[in-house]
Amino acid sequence: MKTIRLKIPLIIAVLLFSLTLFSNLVLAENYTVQGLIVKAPNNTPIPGLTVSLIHSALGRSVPATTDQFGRYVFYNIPARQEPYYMEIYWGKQLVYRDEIIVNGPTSIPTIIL
Amino acid sequence: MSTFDIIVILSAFCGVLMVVGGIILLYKGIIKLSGTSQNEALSLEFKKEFRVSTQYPALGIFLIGLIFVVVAMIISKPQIPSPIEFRGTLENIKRDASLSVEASHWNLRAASDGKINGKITPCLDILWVEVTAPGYEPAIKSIRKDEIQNGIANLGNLNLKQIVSKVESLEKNIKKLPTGYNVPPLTDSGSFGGVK
Repeated sequence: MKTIRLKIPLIIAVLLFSLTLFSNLVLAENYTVQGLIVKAPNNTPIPGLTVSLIHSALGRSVPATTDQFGRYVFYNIPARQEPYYMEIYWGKQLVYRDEIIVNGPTSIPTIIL
Repeated sequence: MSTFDIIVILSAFCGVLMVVGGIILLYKGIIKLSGTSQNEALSLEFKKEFRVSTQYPALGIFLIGLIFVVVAMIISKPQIPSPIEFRGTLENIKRDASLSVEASHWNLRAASDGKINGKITPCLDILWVEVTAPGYEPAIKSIRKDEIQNGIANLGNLNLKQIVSKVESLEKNIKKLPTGYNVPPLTDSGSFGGVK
C-alpha cells in the first residue's frame, strides 16, 4: 500500500512533465511571417528597409530587407505565446516598432509610414 | 562517410601502422639503423627522373609510412574557397546601402510519391549581387567567375533610382518595450528565423 502511495505522485509528475514537453513541442512549430511596408500619403512601396523580429527569449531574428515592392518575408519563426516585437529600420535608424503574435502563418497588415 | 573518406582514413592508418611498426621492430632489434653496404642500399626510382637511395633501409619504412600520412592529410584537408572582395562606387548614395550576394539557383523535383532525393553541385560560376538602400530601387548585377580578377569583383559605378524620400522616425510609430526587455543590437547576425 505504501509503495502505491509513493508511486502516485511519481506518475502524476511524469504525466505533467510529458504534458509540458508535448505542449512545448506543439508550440515549437515554425511559421512564415510576411507583410508590406508603404509610405504615406501615396502608399508607395518602400524598398531597402531592414525588418527584424525581437523576442524576449529568442533574441533577434535574422534581418529581412524589403524588396522593390516593399515586401518582407521571414521563414521558420517559432510560434510563441508571448508576443514578438517587429522593428523597422531606415538604415540604422529605428522608424517603427509594434507587437505581433505568431501562432500560425502570419500576414501582417500593411504598415504605412 | 564516402568511399573516398574511408580510403583516406585507411591510408593514414597504414602510415601510422608502418611508423609505429618500424619503431617496434627497431626496439626489438629486428631492423637496425646501422649503415649497410652500397650493394644493400635501399633505392627508390620513379621513371628514371627521381631516385632516392639510402644505406639505412630502416629509414625507408618510416619514409613510406610518413608519405602515407602526409598524402592522407593533404587529400583530406577541406577546401576553403578563396574570399572574393567586392569593389564599386555608389554614385548617389553615401550611406545605409547594403549588398547581398547569391550564387546560382538550383531546382530539384520531388518524386511522384512525395519523396525528395536530389543532388546539387554548388558552384560559384555566377554570383548575383543585389545592392539595396532604403528608399531606392535595388540594383542587381551578375558577376561571372572569369570577371573576378585576383579575388576582386569589380561592380563599377552603380546608380540607384530613388523611389521614396526618407521616412522620419516618429514617436507614435515606435511602441515602447517593457522594462527590462533585453534587445540584442541590430548588428547581431540573428539567432532565429531565416530570410531569402
